[in-house]
Amino acid sequence: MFDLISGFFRDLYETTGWNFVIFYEQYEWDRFVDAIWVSLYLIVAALFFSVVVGIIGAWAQGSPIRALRLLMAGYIQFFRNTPPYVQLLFFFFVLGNLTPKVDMGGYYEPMISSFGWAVISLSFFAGAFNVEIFRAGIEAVPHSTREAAEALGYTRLQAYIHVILPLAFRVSLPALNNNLVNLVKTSTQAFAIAVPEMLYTLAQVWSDNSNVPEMMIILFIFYVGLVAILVFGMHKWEKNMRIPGYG
Amino acid sequence: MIKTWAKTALGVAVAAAVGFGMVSTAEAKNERFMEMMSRGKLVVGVKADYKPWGFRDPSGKIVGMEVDMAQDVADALGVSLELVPVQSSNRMQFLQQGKIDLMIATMSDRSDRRKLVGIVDPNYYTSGTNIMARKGAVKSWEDLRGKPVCGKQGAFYNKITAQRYGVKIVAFVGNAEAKQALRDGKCIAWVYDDSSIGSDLASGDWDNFEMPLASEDDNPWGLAVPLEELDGIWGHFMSGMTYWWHSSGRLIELEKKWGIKPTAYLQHQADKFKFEHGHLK
Amino acid sequence: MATATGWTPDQPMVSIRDVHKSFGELEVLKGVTLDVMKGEVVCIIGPSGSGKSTLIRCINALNDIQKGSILVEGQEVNDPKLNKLELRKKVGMVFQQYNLFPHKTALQNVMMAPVHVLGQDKAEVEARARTLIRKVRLEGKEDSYPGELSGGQQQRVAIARSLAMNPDVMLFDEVTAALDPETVKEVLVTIRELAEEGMTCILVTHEMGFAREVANHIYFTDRGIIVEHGPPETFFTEASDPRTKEFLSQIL
Repeated sequence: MFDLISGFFRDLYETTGWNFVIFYEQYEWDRFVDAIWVSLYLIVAALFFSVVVGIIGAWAQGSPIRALRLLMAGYIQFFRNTPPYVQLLFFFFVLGNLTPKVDMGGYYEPMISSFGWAVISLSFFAGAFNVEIFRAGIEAVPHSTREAAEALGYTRLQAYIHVILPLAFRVSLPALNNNLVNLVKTSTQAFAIAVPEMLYTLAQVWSDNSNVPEMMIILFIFYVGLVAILVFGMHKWEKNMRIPGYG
Repeated sequence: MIKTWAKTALGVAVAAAVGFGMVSTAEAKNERFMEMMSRGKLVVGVKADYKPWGFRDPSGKIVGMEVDMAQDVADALGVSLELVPVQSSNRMQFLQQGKIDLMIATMSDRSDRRKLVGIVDPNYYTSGTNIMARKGAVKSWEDLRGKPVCGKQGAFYNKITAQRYGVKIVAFVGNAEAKQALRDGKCIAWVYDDSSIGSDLASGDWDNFEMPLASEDDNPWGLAVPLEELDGIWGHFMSGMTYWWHSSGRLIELEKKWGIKPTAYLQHQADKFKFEHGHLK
Repeated sequence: MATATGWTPDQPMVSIRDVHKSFGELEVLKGVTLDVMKGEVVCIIGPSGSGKSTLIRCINALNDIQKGSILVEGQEVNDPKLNKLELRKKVGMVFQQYNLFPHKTALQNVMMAPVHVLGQDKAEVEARARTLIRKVRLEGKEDSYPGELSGGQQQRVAIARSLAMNPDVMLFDEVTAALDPETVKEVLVTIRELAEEGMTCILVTHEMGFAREVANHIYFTDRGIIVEHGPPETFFTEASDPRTKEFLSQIL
């Protein structure tokens, strides 16, 4: 791939001055490819766990245990009302020092890396919104449907998993879609704790090569592409989940 | 002692300005210099938070290596000295707006900056790339290979050290975060400008840390006069002043006084200009 | 045959004693007592708001009661430590609004509870579910979603779904009230077949003709009490209480 395009982009630079250094210099190319993977892993992991947090949180919110409900309310308030950037720094610098680490002589190998903290922090951030989104979906499921499950012997948890959640999920999809698009964009803030994702990497590239406009273009294309894929997938999913004769 | 060389220096500067400046650059002006001499006071912009270059002593007075240099200039001109604390972000504007006559504020000499302010040749100091690490943790640059090293995002040291020594650069938005990460043990070292590291070590907050390596990559520093007076009396005077600082060993002396790690650059300059100094005397 | 509770089939399968139930200030049941024997079909009739739906919802603990006792095969329902799963395995319920799970096909609706709740083998449950769907005359509709079925068809799926749990007693809460007149019959036919097979049934209904034809015993409730009860042959002709008479005159 690199060999295929490097010639073209080197010529482009020499003839026009457009410096897409990531496409013709091996070192920068490697950084760029690494950044793609880091960004993708980060986003996919955060998407997944934020949905898991949302599902568990929405269930806990309807729990008969008061302490659990209060805990959820506190969690949502905290994460909804503080900037994700600050959350990342807080997780990494404050909680990061409280977790176990291995002495490597001069530095410590932490149990949770900056990447790990970014996933945790972003999942909890987007998860707080997902809890609210799923709760709205759950409230849209008629009480009588719940009662039918109850009459068939379902426990609260079984009814949640097999009946309420699948229905609530369909109602929640459009709002979930929005929030997950937001999460893709928020993932760039992981650069604050030195996760070598796309923004972090390209910012370093443009500092080293003074090619800010070119790298900005790449950055935009990358995120526009990611969001487009996500939205496409979500719509397809929404379509597949549509129930014949329902809604 | 300062008086004697100052007269010579000023003489040379005026002669140079008259001899070359008038013909070479039409824009060269001397208004600021004249105004300064007539008010009898030199206003210098210095750092007040960059130990030991310019910082406040316990009584609140601004002191440091660059402050001593400013005092040398005032003494040479026979005027009184006023210090104005400046930041990296506003130091050039202060000079352009006439709030200060001269800026000696740990500024790196870069071509884009030469378009904005009159950076005087020769450079009075150079800093280099170095690291701060826990005492005893690092003995050579090679020790860093494959290990996480904290840095500031966008700094040019990052790529160089990554390529040269194969370190894993962990770059943060600002130095405050990078240094916190070093303190937390998230990386083995913090790579940055040696003068800045020296400044941190001198602050007393980093007792268990050191700057163990030989600096790499000279990064020259420039003091500056207003751009339009660079080729006037003021610029030539400061140029002569800098030659004297180098050739007389004054900068080496100040470096020692303020506990700054001796730089090869200053020694080299002192040796280089020795002959000229003798010649001027 | 005696169960863990010591219940034997010659005792009432459902035994309701002096049940009181309030929603806040409003007392809906004011001391109701009735017995249902195994294999009996009992209809509860009465004006709206008389508490009949509340009464059968108390039998499978969808509503709790404040006072009194409900025994289902000897198991006390009015018990804070009630094992709800045990109770609901014994008691099936069909609702006025069918309440099928809209995201599952008819077959899946029938199969879900035995698989999820009882942990039974999927293949075995599927075979039983297909039999039940045939039984309620919906063969061919196995893969239809509830939204694609008529009200009567949905209600028959709901009956099959309930039967899949192999209950000992079935509760029917005004199961034809929401249906078009044409489809009422097909549901009633299904219930009658169940009754004829010996299923113990408790129905809340407005279908007097059906009640008269199928029920072994009819209870008339008004304002939270049982005003009058008896076998259909005497109940409809020899009602003595003026409230019963007035109700019957309006409805028949």
